[in-house]
Amino acid sequence: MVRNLNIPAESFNELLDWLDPDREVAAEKYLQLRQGLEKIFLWEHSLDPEGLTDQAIDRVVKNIQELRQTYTGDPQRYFFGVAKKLIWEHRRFIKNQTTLDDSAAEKPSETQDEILEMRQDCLDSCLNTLKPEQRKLILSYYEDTKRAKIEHRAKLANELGLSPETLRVRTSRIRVSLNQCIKQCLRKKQQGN
Amino acid sequence: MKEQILTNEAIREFLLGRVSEEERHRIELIFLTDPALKERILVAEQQLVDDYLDGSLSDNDRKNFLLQYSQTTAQKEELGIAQFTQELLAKRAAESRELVVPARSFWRRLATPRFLVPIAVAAVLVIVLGVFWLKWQTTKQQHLAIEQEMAQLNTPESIKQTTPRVVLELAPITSRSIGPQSELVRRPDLGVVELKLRLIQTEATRYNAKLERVDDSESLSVNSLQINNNHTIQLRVPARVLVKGLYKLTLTGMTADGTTSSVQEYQFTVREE
Repeated sequence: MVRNLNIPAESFNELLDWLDPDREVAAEKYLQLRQGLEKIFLWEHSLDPEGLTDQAIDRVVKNIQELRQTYTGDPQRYFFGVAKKLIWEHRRFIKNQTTLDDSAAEKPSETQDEILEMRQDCLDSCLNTLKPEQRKLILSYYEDTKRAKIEHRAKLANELGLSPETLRVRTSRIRVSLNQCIKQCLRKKQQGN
Repeated sequence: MKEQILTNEAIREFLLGRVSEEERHRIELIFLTDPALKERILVAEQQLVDDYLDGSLSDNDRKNFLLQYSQTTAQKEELGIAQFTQELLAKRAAESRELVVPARSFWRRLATPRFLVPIAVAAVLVIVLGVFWLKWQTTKQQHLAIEQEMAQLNTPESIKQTTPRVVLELAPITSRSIGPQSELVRRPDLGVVELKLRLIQTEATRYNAKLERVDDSESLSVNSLQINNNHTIQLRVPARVLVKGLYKLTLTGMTADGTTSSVQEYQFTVREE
C-alpha cells in the first residue's frame, strides 16, 4: 500500500482505523479513496492530481484525532469536502496564471525510449496479473484494427454468447483495472529512478 | 441521486463536461462514496476513451472530450497511457496470434487435395474394416450364444425333463447305406428338434457332436453327450438354426481316458414347409 511518507506512521494507522476497524478493509478503502480523489482532481483539470491527493490526505490526517471524536458521517464524504476546497484553491491559483499550460511543471527525466520500455514492461507485468481468461479476452478484443475490429468483436461476442454491449462492458472493466495497474507500476518505476 | 437513476447517458454527459456544476458535484460525491457507481463511471469513461482513440466520436463529442481530457499534462499523460495500452494490446494480440499460425497452416496444408484424397481413402478403409469387424464380432457372439443354448438343451437334466414335439431318428452312414435321406420339415412353431442318433459301436462313454450344413463353413458343437440304454444319443437343436439344406453330423466317441474311440457320421436334409 502506498503511504504518503510525510504522514507519520501513527497518524496513518489512525486514518486507517477511521476508515474501517478491519485493517484489510481499511487498506482497500484507502486505495480506492486515493484513486477516486486523483480521478476527481484529474476531471477538474488539476495540474498535479497526485500531489493534490496527497495534500487532501495530509489535511485530513492533521486533524485525524479530533475528527475521529467529532465527525460522525462517512469519512469519504469528509475527504470529498476537503478535495473540493482544494480544487477551489487550485482554481484561484490557476486564475493568477496567464495560461493553463503547465509545461514548466517538473518533467520526468526519462528519454522517450526509456518511457516506452517502462510502459511495455508495466503492460506485460499487469497482463500477467489478470486471470488467464481475462487476458485471453482482452487480447482477443484488441486483436484486429480499423474496420475489421467491428466484425471481429461481433464474432467474438457471438462465440462467447454475449451481446456486443456486454462484451464491451466486460472488456472495459478489464481495461480499467489494467490502467490502474499500469499507472501504479509506472509510478513505482519513476520513483525508483 | 442514486445509482439506479443515473443513466448511462447522464454519465456520458457528465464525462463530456455537459452537466451543471451542481450535478457535477453530486456525481463526483457519489463516485467517491459508492463503489458500484464508481465502477460504472470508470467503465463508461474507458468506453469514451476507446471511442475517441478509434475516431468514432461525433465532432461535437470529440470537441467536448478534448476539453475534458486533454487540457493538462496529467490528462494528456493519462490519455497517452490509454492510447499506448490499446496499441500495445493490439501488438501483443498479433504476437499471440502469430504463435498459433503454424498450427493453423498445418491443418490448412492437410486440407489440400494432395493430402485430402489419401486421408479420405484411409478413412473409408477404416470405416469398411470397422463394419466388417463389427459384423464378425456379432456373428461370433451369436454363434457362441447358440452353442451355449444347445449345451443347456442337452444336459442330462434337460433331456429328462422335456420331450420335444419333433424327433428325427438318424442312422449312421455306412458304405452300405441305402434308402431315402432322412428329412426334417421346418415349421415356424417347431421350437426344439431332437435328433436321435443310432450307434453302431458303443465302447465310448461320451460323445461330442459336430453339426454342419454342407454348403456352410460354420459348424455347431456340443460335447459330453451321454448314451441312452437303447444305444442312441439324443441331440437337441433349436429348430430356428436349421435352415433349408443338407446337414452332416459327426459324432465322435470318447473313452474314459479322453482318447477318441470312434467316429460316426449322419446326414439329413431340412426343407421348408
